[in-house]
Amino acid sequence: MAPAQRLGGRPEETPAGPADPSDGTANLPTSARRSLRLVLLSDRADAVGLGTTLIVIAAVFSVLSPYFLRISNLSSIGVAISLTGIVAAVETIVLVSGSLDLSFTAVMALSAIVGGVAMQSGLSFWVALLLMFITGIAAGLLNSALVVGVGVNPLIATIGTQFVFRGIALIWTGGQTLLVTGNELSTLANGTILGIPIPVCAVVGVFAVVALAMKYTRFGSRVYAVGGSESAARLAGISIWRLRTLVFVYSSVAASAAGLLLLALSGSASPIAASGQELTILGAVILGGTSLAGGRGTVLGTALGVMLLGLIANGLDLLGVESFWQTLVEGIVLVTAITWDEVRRKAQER
Amino acid sequence: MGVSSEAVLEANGVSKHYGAVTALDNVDFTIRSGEIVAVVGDNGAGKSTLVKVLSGAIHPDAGEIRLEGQPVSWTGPRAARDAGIETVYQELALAPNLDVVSNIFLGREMLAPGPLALLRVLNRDEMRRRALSQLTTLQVNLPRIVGMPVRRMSGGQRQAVAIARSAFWASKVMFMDEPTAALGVRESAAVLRLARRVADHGVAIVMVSHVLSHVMEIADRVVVMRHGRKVGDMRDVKHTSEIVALIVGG
Repeated sequence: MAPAQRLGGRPEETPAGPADPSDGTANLPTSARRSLRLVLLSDRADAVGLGTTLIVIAAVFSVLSPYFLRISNLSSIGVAISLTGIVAAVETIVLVSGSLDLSFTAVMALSAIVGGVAMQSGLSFWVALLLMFITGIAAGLLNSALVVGVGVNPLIATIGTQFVFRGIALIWTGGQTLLVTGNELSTLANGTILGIPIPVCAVVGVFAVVALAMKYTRFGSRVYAVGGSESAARLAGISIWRLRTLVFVYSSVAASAAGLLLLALSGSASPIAASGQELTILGAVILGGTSLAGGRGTVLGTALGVMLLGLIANGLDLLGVESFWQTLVEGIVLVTAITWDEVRRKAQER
Repeated sequence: MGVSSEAVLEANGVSKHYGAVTALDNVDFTIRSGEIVAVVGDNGAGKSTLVKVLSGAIHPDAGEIRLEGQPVSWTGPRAARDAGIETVYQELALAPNLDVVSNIFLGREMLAPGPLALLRVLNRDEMRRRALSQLTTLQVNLPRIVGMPVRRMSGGQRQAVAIARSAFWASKVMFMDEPTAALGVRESAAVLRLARRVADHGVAIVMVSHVLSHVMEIADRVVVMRHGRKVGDMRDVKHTSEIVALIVGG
């Protein structure tokens, strides 16, 4: 038998191409330059960078406002980001799989209305909860039917279904907001577990479950595989339609869960709830290092992205800054996130 | 382990038509365990169609396929895979963002034992151990097999991963489609040596290739296709001109 051979040489020996003086590494040897670039573009670098930004911004706001670091304020931030956090965590799965779902805010609103109408009609909280989740499952199946069944581009399909779900919500309520109360909703909104508000526990729980699933389960591994190369996954025998259907259903069910929290926290169900927040939430996911192209992203990164946006919104509120400026800030964050995603994708192709 | 005397995979009188076009015309084919058979021919000669029929990707319109003497009619490539037939595709079919271990077990992940299996938790330690064993057996040296996406590897390394993966699962036959087409001289030589090591472990290899020098270097037999027909089945080829003459005909 032939002696062991090292196949193809080490990656560092592959010529890196002409030096790029703009990336700050032009004076380094080729292999060191490539290694440095790989480190800077890694998931870990994203998380460290984002975490550092989070700490810096928190420090700035804590200096500018004496209320920022109060427990009550931090608790408010936690509750405020619980809704966006739940959908952002599961939207990470959608993006990593190489797809997209922009209908989640509409599903959130519609689910809240389904739950609200059910409770106003005298049905128990648990029946209303079941109906809300059925709404989520149905919404997910519709998205899947369009994207996986028919082959419609997911961006277009879920923008379309977003309008369908909003339209149903508006027609059903006549454009009115329903006021809904109940003991269970009150407990959800105001209760605590070991002193931590239930909404915060819920979002932490969702992040933990998604993170563990993506890292340790076959489902998570296959989501990354399909996002990285759908053809390779298909040739390996993975059922693409089944996986994508599951992903869309999980996305919409998470939106329904967020709808339940919305119902509890606001005491109401509005057909226009969370309208326009899709791109902000998407921005938080991309900011956290998840790629629009699929195959890359971590739930930790999404958590940091959600926290960063939540901190900024809260800090600007405390400083009395007009909400128009918040819109500008969210836009800057979204543009930055998408630009960095594209820069990183192109760098990895080289 | 040398070449066995019994055929592991046979095709008898297979034909395939696409409308008025005859892609395969009454073709016979055999391969034995441990043998490397190269299938060569010009574009449109029927090489890819023959491989697709043999690997279960498509059904022939006529003729039969036998695996270890038993007639088979696969419902698709997955059924062929379950029977021990694997394919190394020209585009490699690796997930670029996954590491070597994840790619080797792609679609066939091992689950942790006990209650964790209900949650479909992966048994990463066992997968890593088995992948390392396979790579060691085939003498494939890679910088990292865990945590490093294969897109960061060279073309030759990725080809080696694809071959090692197919060899891991192929208990009977492995198909290789243009395995050296995108590789340089050194990497091609290493891939061919790897293919020989796989065959030495008893796997029959069917290799489609345009590179006749590589065919001469590694193949035990050369099957020549032209216009959907088998026009040559040669052993002990002395020079590529013998193959070229059959490819172009006349």
